[in-house]
Amino acid sequence: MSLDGALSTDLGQQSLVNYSSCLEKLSTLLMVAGRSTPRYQKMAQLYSRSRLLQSHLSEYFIIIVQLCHYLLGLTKRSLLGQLASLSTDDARMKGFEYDLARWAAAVKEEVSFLMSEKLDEQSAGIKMLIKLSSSQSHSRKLVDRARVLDACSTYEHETTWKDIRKTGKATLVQQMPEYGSWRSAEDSSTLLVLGKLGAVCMPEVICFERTLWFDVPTHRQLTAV
Amino acid sequence: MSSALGKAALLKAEIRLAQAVSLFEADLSQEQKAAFRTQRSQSCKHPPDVQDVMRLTAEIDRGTSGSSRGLRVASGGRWGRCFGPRFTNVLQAVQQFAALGDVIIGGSQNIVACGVWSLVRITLLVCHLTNVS
Repeated sequence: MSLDGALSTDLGQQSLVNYSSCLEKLSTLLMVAGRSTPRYQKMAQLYSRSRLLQSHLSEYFIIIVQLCHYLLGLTKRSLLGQLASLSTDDARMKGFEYDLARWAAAVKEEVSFLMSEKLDEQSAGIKMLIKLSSSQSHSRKLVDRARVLDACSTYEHETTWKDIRKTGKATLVQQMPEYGSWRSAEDSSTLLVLGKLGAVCMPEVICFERTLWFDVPTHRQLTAV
Repeated sequence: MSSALGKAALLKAEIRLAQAVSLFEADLSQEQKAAFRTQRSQSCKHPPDVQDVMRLTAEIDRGTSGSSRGLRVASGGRWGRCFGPRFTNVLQAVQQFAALGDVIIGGSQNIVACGVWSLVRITLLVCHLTNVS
């Protein structure tokens, strides 16, 4: 074997060895990147919701594309060129590794944030359900109250009052000085009228006040006991 | 204000991704370019799934160990190793990204994501074939 031939095979072997280590480095880089690589089953749901996630993922894949581009450039280089640039290759590889880890971490953070947001939404839904059931319990309370009132008396005062009304109006209350002062009071006040249940005077007052509804300041209260 | 900034940043990242893909495409040889384009249009029609990832890793391993037979003598049997499984995670991430295109409205997103998938695929295959031969 001539000297030239020996040299070239020697170089060839050396570059193969170097290439092997380069391939090893590459696969190690991708393996390390693969440990933190953003693979999430729910990505499809989350992706459309978060612009930040879309941006981070794009950044991640930009690095991947740049890495591929760089590798493609390596395959084109001559053996000597590959040998000459070994140290810079190492630096570039380190840079890619660092960038990939960085963006993978950013994506992971965003995904975990979105997941927790989703959990919050679910708990808000549960709160809504609880609220709904509490409004149902409120209406049940009203029904209960009506039942208690019915148990006390189911007396139909309206018809009796209308029958009595045919004979004439009761104006006794309106002549009372307390009633007059309550009516003419400027500020909010309460008129307490005591009487038997089903007495004529109370519906009479309410009827009278209703007819004068627009004159009466609404802040006055009328209480019948 | 912050949402407007976010929008600008997003636009930038996506456009830069598309730019990186087209830069890569420009550096390919004619044959590789043709292969890349057919691969991309195929994966646009049928987004890659997990099986495609497995198929690719198997292909890489076949590439390395297949050519190892000739080279084992020269390199002392260093080529018989399986590198495919090391790529699986990253490949799966790329595959999922390409499959995401389905969800998003608008075809350009799909083309870029499928471009990334085809590009990674072609790089790994080219790397193994050209360097080993």
